[in-house]
Amino acid sequence: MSNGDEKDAITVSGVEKTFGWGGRAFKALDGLSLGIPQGCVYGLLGPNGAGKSTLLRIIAGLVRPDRGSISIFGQDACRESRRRLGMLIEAPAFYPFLTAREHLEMFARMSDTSTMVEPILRRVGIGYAADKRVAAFSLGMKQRLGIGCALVAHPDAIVLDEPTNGLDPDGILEMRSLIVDLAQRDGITVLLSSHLLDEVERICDRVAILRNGRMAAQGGVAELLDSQARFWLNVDLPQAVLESLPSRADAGDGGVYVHIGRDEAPELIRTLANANIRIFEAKWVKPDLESVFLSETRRDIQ
Amino acid sequence: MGQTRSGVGVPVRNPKGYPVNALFSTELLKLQRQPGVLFWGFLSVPATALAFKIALEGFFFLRSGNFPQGQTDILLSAAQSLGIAGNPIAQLLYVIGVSSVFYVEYRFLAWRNLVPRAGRFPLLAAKFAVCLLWMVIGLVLTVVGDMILNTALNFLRDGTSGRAPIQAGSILVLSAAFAIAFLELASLAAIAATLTIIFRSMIAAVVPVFLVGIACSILQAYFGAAIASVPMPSFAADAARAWLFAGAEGPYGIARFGTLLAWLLAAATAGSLIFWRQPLNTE
Repeated sequence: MSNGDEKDAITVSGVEKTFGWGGRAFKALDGLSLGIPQGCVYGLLGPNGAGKSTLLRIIAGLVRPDRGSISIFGQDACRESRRRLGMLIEAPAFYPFLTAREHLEMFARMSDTSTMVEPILRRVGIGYAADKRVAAFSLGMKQRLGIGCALVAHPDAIVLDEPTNGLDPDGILEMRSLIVDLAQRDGITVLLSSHLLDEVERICDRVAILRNGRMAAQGGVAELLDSQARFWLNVDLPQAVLESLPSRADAGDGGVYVHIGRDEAPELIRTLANANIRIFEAKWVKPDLESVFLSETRRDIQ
Repeated sequence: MGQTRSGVGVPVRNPKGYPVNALFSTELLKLQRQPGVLFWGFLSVPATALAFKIALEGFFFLRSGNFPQGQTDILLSAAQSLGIAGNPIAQLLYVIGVSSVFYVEYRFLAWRNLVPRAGRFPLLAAKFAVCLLWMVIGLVLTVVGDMILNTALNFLRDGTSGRAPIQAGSILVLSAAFAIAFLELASLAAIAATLTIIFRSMIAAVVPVFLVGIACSILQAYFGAAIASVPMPSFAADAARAWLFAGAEGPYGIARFGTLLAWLLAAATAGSLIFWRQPLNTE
């Protein structure tokens, strides 16, 4: 049986999940729908409790949704379709009594693939510790091993929950380049959740911002930043601009920020010029992802 | 598919893909890498039973200067030694072993690695199969140990050949005793596994099973054969053993086999159903 958009690596359709009962019930996901296009690096953002981990666990088959469905490469999520995914869900979890090599060999056998583990160990940067027991691993090494385990079955898509957690700055850079490399060189779709907005902004093509189990915003990173860009004007009479656009203009950075669409800018400039307001400088100021994230996730609080 | 992924070559994948052998060998490896669990959970019972028997024979020798007249048929003696499966302390050790095998995934939050790759039911089946395999190995060691000890004692007693007489039909009795012991331990394993899954805890599985085992022993000592009709695994196994060594006449023992089998199937089914629906949001 097929479901979802076949162009999407993963399609989430109207997924709801509530934990607990009665007064203690907590709705982790509330009718969430999203599509992760094949070949892209997709970032999942949201404050704690937004539903990111629950969504990843539902995709992994660890938690069953109350309603809605997941499809993976056009097939309903099941054990067979999940074999096309590599996963690193939350903190990496390994057996301290096994070595890194034994872990990778174990997952390779389990995935029924003829994977050689040596190249994967080298690729994730723990080749030197292949025969050490995981009990002696730092969190960063476990994180690398987790990525290795996600890659061992030659997945078409990988799901990474906080992949740079516990890594040092060098490790974060390496992991970033590995993720980009996986998408660009190997054509693997990457779904990652992260609290590091700077990281997401650098490596993701598309993002979804979750809030209270719902979609707060989604789209291409550039497109999302562009949609929240503001027009900044340095004029001789800022007060006149503020008064003429009372609900759409704010003073800031020595000028005036105006909330308009890109196509409205020429008309605004013409209007100001006709009103004999001198414009010294005008530019579009794009927010960074952190500003977008904060504005989207704090909307309810405000 | 078919294109190079992760820079490590083209995957060869079984499309039907129930990697049961892989899961079984994985579970074996995990248990072998935990020698404490393997020994105390599965091998300490036959080792202790043999050591205890050697100590008793040695004590008798020290006291009287010669070895006691033992069981003449070493197969029958081995069949009787399998009664160790009904000992509450032996059961405690086996429950610790079985529960450890299942609890390791909750303890190290490792279901998240396994469930997406292998599905739920094959994982449980592989774990249960590994427990049963080591239980069988334990029972075989009990039998072999008892036979070697009896052969050695016969040799020391007679000073001649170590061969003891074997009565016809003893092999059948030994086989039946093995089946009873195996069914008793298998139903115990299924109950321990189910409790571990329900409570996601080892202690919550071990303590109730041990307490019930002790309670059953006390009730059996108090009520004797009268309690054999209560459909509990330990009563059924003891009754089946008594029936077997008394000559195995009539359908009585078969009914006790049925009781053990029913417990095994009920516990295994319950465990599978519970795990099938269990949310692994925190493991």
